Amino acid sequence: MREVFTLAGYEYQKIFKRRSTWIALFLVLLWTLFSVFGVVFGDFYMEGEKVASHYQMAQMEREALEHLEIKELNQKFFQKQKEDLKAFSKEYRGLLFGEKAPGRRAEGWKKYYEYYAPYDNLGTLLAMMDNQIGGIEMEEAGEKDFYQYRDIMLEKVFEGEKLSDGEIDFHRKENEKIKTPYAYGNMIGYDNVFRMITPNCIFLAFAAAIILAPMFAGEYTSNMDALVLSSRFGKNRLIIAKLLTGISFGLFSSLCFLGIFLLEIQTIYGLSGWNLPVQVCVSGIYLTLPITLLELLGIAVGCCTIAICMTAVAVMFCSARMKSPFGVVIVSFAFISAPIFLVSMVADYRILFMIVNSLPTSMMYPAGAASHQLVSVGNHYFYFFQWVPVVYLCLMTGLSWWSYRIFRNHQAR
Amino acid sequence: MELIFDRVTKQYKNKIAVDRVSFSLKKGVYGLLGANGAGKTTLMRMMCGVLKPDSGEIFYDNIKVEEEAYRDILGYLPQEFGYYPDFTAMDFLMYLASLKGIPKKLAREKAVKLLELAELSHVAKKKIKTFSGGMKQRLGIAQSLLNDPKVLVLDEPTAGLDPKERVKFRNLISKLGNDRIVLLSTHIVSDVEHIADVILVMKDGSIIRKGSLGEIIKVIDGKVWECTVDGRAAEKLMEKYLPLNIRQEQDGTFLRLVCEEKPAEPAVNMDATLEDLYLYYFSGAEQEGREV
Repeated sequence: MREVFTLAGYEYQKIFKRRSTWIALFLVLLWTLFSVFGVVFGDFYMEGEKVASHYQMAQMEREALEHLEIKELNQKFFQKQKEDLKAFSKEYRGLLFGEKAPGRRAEGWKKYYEYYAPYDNLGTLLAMMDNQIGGIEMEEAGEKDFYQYRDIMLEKVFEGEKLSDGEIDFHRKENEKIKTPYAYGNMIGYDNVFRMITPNCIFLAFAAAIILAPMFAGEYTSNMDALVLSSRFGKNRLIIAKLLTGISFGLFSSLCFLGIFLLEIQTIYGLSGWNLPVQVCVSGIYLTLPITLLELLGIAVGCCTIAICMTAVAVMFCSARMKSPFGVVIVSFAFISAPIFLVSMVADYRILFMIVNSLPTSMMYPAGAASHQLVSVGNHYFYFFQWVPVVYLCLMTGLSWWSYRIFRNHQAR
Repeated sequence: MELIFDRVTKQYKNKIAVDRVSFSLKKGVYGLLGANGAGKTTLMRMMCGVLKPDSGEIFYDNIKVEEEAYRDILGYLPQEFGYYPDFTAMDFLMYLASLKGIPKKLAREKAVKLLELAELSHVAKKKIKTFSGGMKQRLGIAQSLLNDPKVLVLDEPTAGLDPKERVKFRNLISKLGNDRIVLLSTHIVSDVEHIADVILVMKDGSIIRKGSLGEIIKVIDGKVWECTVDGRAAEKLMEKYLPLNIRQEQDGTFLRLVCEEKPAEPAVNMDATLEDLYLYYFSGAEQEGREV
């Protein structure tokens, strides 16, 4: 085994000696930084007057949600929302829209945001429900209405998704397990994580394709195949080392970039609402999973990581099979990007949807990994994030074995 | 120590690259001589286990070439020597040493020695992409010796070396041949002439001659002639016999020919060389139906 690790070390050397590796990783890093910090650059204007920077607004919302008086979505919370918004209208609305507004809009906006920030996310949730079921009086909604609207919305969603009776029953039971009224607090960090984790991981998958494409194919094009295959460990330990390098690269790079990403999110938005139910954030309102935001984050990170590892194995398989790294990159890019377009096209075809939604890129979407379509085995139902990793582990083993055989039996001509 | 080829065959689509070749190699230096496409490289690749024969077997002391134990005693310099452009010479040797299962400490000592032998010590830490063709070839030779191989296969090892380097290389190979099997192929006939204990002549996928220089040259012994004749006579002679050398001189055309009988009055019988034999076999004299 020591030889395998030594050889894996050399495979890493080969990877990091290539300029393309550094360029690809630099671009991913740039994207990871921009995806979070980029959003808070710039200012917000009203009637041509700068009222706040995006950064200030994010900080005010964070501050407001972290210091809520009422930390539950109960009747008192809805009542306070109405009172606060009424108080703002009475005392400060003029600073934004009245005759006194010009020159004082920044002050007015600050006041507005102080009042409005704790309820911004709630407004979005109600708007999403209204979008599905319609006719919601958002300003009048109270605790009971909120949970009732959500139940109606879920039924509509189940119907739209053509779920089986068993699946619907399962989701209803799951939904009942969620403690109401929902605990409430700072969910904006998690909301941003769930929105941005997908493009970040897709970028990383593209980079992994560029970096790992030469794993085997590079030996063919550099004419090193004959030399390595005629060496003692060329047909066994070297191949294991290559596969180990590819998979560990997928694992470490995803953990590293996700770590950087979470650090950025923590810096700007905070991740203090870890124990809130997922249903309080925009990405989780449709879910029936009775889990916390931290648990969903764990699922998302786990799914993204294994999806990148799966992509890495698929890229290495192509690399062993094809003769040029360029061809491998083309095929890998198609493999990574196809689900982005296909998933909505096949939504009405159950089997196709199950296949497309289980592809690595689809698994990078938290909503995709926890989507309502389930796989049933006996009386048990399994979410994508539960059964797909098992399938991936089997596929990774199978494809690794196949790649091993292809390279071992490669004929140097 | 014996490497046996047992009815080894390899076919590429319609072309039989190696045709039921059977022979054995024992300790010593073997020179594989043949024209382009004769099947030398295919034979060597099969010998190194990187190309599978369609039929037949190759084994060394009952170890099949597919086995790790065989690769452990094998040193190979492929015809197209590949390398990683961004590796330094030292990194490259250390990497190949780890592929050959040599412990790190010993590998470093060996790499230093071999770089010295290949006169590459001064560029040990330079990237291979900055090397000249000759330097790369010397690095290739150095890597083939890393595991002190019992079977050393060198495909065109002198390509890209200057005459001084070639002489040095020849001496090195001669020394190595004392306790191992060395098989080398080259187009440079003089290299084989100087190094090889046994010469194998390969043509159309078959070994058509095997023996020492003296033994295989016997085929054309007493058949090599030199003469200087006028232009018209030279043309006639060249049509009839296989010319080995043609040179325009002040008093006529100088010819070196292969033929059974004295081709012209002024012709003088000469000692045959390996180059004569090579040209005899590979210039197509037989196919063209010229007299010998």
